[in-house]
Amino acid sequence: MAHRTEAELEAERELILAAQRDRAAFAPLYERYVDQIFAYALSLTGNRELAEDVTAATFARAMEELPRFEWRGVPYSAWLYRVAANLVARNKRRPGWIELQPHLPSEMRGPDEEAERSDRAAEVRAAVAALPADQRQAVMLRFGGELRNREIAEIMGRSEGAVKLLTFRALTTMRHRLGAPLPAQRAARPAPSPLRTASGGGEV
Amino acid sequence: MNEHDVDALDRALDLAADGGHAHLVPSRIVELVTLATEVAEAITAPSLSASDRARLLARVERLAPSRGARPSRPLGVLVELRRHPVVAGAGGAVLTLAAAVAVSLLRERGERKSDGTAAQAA
Repeated sequence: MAHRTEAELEAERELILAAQRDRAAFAPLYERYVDQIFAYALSLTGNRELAEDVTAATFARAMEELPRFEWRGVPYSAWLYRVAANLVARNKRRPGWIELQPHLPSEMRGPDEEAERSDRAAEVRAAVAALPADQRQAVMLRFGGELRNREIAEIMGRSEGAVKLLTFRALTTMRHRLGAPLPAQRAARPAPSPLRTASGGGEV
Repeated sequence: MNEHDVDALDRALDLAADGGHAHLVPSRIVELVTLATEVAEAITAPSLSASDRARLLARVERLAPSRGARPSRPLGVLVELRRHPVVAGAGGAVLTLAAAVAVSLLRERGERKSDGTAAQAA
């Protein structure tokens, strides 16, 4: 859940310029974002086949619009997420759209020593899938898409304050549902930056 | 929940995402930030296999028109094409044929009208 640095944004701008000159250079952008867009589409549709349709249509639109795309200093994924969200929203109004229970993919079980972490990851994904749609969308965009509030607000058509509140409610709900993070998680994989606590005085 | 907690969490998440440091953060907020890290790891785990990605890319390339060509198909058509490729393909062909016939009829009617107008003028 790291925001892009200026250098990373600049590198992305270069990738887009290259793809604008030569469509064959679009592949790195696709590789970078296809998993994110698919996971997002899956969280919105709850159906793997529909999620693939949305993902394919999103990247086809991206390729098509590439010559007209203007860099605005925000991650390219913000544009892709917006297209995917619009495609889903428009098609949900069509008759015949079947919305299944949200289902996020569960990864293959690894060796025994990975089992606990894998189970926990599946629990976390299930907790995300069980969130109300708007909270789920905010979580997918903030933690899956690594976007900032103003970018998420634009995609969701909500205020930045509303996005902050949705994120807070989502994490609070999941905290109640999941309990505390695994001790292994706290010890082995700390948050990207240490946060000194007020009451506990410890660091994460 | 209070407004202060919402803002405190937001700031802590932003700082963590930017690799910064936050001081005097309540432990309940730290727990939520740690949970957010777990969530990020769980939902960004690759869910498409290499073959899925390649198959989807091939589909994207088929769908995306070349520069200057007509825009890509709407999602509804994609869904129908996936579900009923033959029916949807045949339906598309019928619609294209019908459109071509309609255009030709309209053009013919327009030509007749302009002929009549020219005759009247003469």
